[in-house]
Amino acid sequence: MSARFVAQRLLHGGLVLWIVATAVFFLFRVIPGDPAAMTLGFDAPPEALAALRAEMGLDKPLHVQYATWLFNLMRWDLGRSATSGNAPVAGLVFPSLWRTLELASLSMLVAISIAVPLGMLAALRVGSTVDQLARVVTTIGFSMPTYVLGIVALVVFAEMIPLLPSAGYVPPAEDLVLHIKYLILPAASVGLVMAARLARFMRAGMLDVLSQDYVRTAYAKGLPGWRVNARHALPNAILAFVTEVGVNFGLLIGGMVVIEQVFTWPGLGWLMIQSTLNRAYDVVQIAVLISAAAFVIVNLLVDLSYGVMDPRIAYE
Amino acid sequence: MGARQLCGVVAVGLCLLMNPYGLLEQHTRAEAAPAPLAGGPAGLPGGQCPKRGGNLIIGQSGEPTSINPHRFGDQNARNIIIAIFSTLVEHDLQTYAIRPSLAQSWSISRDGLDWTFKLRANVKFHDGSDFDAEAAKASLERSMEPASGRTAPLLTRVKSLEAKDALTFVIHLSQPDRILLSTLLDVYMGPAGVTTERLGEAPMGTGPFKFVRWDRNRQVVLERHTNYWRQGLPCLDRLTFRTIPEESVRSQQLRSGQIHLSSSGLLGEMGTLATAGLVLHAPPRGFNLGLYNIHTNTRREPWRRQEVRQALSLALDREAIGRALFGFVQVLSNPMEANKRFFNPQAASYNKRDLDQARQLLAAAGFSGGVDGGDAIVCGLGFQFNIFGQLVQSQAAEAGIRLRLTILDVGTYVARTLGGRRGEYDIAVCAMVPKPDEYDLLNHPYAKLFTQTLGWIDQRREFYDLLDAARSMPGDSAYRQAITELQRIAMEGQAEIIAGGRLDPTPARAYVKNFIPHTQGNVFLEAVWLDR
Amino acid sequence: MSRWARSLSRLRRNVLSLVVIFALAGVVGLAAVAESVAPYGPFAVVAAPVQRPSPAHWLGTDEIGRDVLSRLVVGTRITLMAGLVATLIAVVIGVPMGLVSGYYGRGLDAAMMRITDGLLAFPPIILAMAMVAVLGASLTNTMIAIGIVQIPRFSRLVRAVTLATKQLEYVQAARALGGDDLHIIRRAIFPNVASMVFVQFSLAFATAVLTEAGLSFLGLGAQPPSPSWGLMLDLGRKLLSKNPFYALSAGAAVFLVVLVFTLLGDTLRDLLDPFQTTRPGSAPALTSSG
Repeated sequence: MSARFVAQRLLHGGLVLWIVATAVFFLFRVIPGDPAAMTLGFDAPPEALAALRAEMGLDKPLHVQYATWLFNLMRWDLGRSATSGNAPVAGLVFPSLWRTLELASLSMLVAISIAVPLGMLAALRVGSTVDQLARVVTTIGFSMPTYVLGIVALVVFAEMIPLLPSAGYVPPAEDLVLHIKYLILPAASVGLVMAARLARFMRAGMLDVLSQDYVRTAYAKGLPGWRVNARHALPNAILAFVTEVGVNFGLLIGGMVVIEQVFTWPGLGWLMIQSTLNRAYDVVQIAVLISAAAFVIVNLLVDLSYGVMDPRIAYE
Repeated sequence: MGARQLCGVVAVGLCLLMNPYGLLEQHTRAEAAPAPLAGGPAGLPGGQCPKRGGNLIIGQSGEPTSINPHRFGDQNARNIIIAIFSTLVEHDLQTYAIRPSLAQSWSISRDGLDWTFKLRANVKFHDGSDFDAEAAKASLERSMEPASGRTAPLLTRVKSLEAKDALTFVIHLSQPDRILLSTLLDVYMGPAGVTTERLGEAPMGTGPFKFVRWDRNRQVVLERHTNYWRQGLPCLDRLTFRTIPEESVRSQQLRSGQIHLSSSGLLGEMGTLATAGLVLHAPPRGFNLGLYNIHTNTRREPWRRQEVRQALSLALDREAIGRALFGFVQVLSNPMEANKRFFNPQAASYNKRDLDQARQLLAAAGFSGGVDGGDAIVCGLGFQFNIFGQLVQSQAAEAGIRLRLTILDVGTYVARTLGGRRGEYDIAVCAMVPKPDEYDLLNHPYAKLFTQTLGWIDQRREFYDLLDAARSMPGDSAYRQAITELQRIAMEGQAEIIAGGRLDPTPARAYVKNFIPHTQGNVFLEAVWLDR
Repeated sequence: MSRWARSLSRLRRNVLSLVVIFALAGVVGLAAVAESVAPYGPFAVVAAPVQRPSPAHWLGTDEIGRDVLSRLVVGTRITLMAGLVATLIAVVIGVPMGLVSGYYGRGLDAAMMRITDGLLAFPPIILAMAMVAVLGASLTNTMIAIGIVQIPRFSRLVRAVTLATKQLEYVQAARALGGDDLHIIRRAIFPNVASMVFVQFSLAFATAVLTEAGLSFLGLGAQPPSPSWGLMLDLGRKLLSKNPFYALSAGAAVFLVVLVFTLLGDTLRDLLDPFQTTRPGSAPALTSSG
């Protein structure tokens, strides 16, 4: 893997981020409704709104605002949010990011611990009842909207059988046990659906590898089954699986919006929705950018690790 | 009758003779109230907290946009602000008479142009400094800045402010103003020498609770002001305002005791909450929590035609709307029905649905086959508006008025009714919360902010002229006549259609005692105590 | 035997596939005759609001008193149309993009890949929200938004297949001999691409249905009084304690349609691509449901 390759991927990532940043900046300026009205409420007269808009710096020409924002971004100055009492944007966005990462990581853990054994089992026993059952279960899970599963889970586990507290959040520093209890239902909902998706992929990947020539050769040579699997089939299947996990994780960061809404989990997706509704441009721009950055970074890592793990990969 | 009372009556009588500009009720109260009322707005038995301490957790429907007393946008912010700040005058929570708070008493000059306020002594800010006339003056000045949208437009008649001495504060007006006291209900008192922005970042007032911290997107924490000017209050040690946008989650947390009170509506959940043993606090009898309203864009066809507007109002089945909103709606079409004293029974009423008459009116306007009413935008403030909007559309269709419904998020709704894209609608369905006094019940729906939104000033300029003149009318009978006439014109014109009064109760745990809901949805907590 | 004939014989032997085909026919048929089958109209207020199921109303009534079953049935058409239009938009834009990108390569390819990745990196719900806020909240605009979000799915896949096919000997030969580009694309590359697109189509359809429900659930899609399942899910959820069948039936309906189309995608893959040349993950799964 050459330095040129790494540099190329980094440049690619940077460009993607720039595109996203520009897109979100201009997209949100085009949406009707302005932050001043959201701060003052819809009882505010036009003169008051104009005065507040001037205070917020929204009366400058668009390209000037864009340039200022981009320049500040380079200096790692994420700005202050006029619609949230001038709080620093970093202080709003990063805690939300950690909370989403926490939920995403736990969900992924749940998903992997179910998907890997299930997928492998189905692949090794391809065509059998076990396999058929696995296919049905995973397809059902794959088709279930996470938020529907979330609502059902809430109704069953928080209301009908009051085992767990209903949706909400408490910082781990305040009450670790309660914090974990709040984490269980959303992580399970997302994790189960993700498990279905990953299990299908695991199975297909395993099948693909098992049918490869070199594996068949190993079987033909008379090597015991488990040795074939462990040394030949598994590593390659894992490669593809890791790629898939990585890609899904990156998408999860921005994709957990509805689940965060249902469970009132104050993560990045929830922040993005609230800020969009409140026309808090400054916050939404950074939040979307962070979400995109997470995706880009994860993809970059996956690409790089792919290049390391399998030198046969040829890139354009 | 003792000597004291006699003197009081005589004093009142003399003042009334000499001072025609004082609003009757308020003036009497001011002169007859020498000492701070124990128990404040809510009133406590014996003036003492039966139990002290505790942390009251309030669930709110959203994150406050700010806690700046001059720059806030919604009820979620207001509830926190009224805990931190006091005002010169306040509402009695049972009668809504305006009575003294930080201003102990006031007097008005003969010509109605000078209002002298005697401020209460020994009132301390949260940092220990004294509240005085300079602070009052600074607070008024902040409230008059153009960006202070809630108060500035109502303070346009203020010519100058004067801090005569430490406890005497004078407002000089350019024109007499009957609603000055009502406006002062929203002017929050902060210290002198602080800019509005700074006050928003570090809110400090003389209210019963002081600001501790704001955990963004989670909660705002306040704690007891030990030197609060109302001796013995507040009863609670702490207040926690928690942001819980999902109604079902807020309801679950109420039922499990994770929160103790929900400041925002949980209309669909009231049945479940009642079954779970929660108390549903309703506003005092005769008062509602605001009005469900429909703006009509009278600059567009067919809403330019009075017959079409009247037809829509007649086509509404207000009782069915009430049933669909779980019974928490008061049937009314005249906003003044909420204020019995000034209600004009002669003015047109649309409380009873009449489809035949609606169709006749449409025919009279030339639309006998029905009419395309255009775009009906609905503010997406909650699912009750979803229901309300769908009912308006369905009921209007039965009379022949066809509408296209769009539920908009608040930002876009505001933009199209008040903001940059003002006027891009045919009818706009939402709710409003006027103050309970008779002037605001007319001013808020028709003028104040919505003059250009409705465009009705083009058709009935006399309504707006009379409304403006009424504000400075000297005699009470002339004023009353004006209010009566204004109702007649408003009910005839139906530029603003009132579909009902909101009666959403405030649900709370049974151990939250002495909570009285306010007709504007404000949550006053100084005299609330926890029985546990 | 031709490829298609082989595929059909394989189909007849797979029971699951037959079930899926019948289910698909059922859903589409229901959408076609919806109004005649629905007991009441979808917009008529026929009873008291939020009633539990009764002999007159099998799934009860909704928030203003309309029959839930009728609305559910008529909603099928909206769902299918939303899925179709959104996916068609994604195909019509994404496939040519992928073809051009893969075939011509270099600068054009680089630029398109950046844009595609940018599109993928943007959180789909936020993109849809913003577009809807700009264009106005309506079903049409939501379909456009969802379609745009799905473009990368097709452009990436098509690009990958184009690249692979381009390497084949006979294609290289044709190009070297100066063959007409359009001709080469049409005869050599497109047939390979087509079968992949077919498979992805039904999976993308499923995702579109999920996303539309999600967006309507957030208030960004179809507007009331439209009987969109997403809208019904949202309102029904708030009235869960009063008439649980309102929300549950809408949720079940979304789930079933998505299931049918996902299984259809699997079936098509088994038919057209039995050797799994494209693995399920080769076009990244868009988590727009979550």
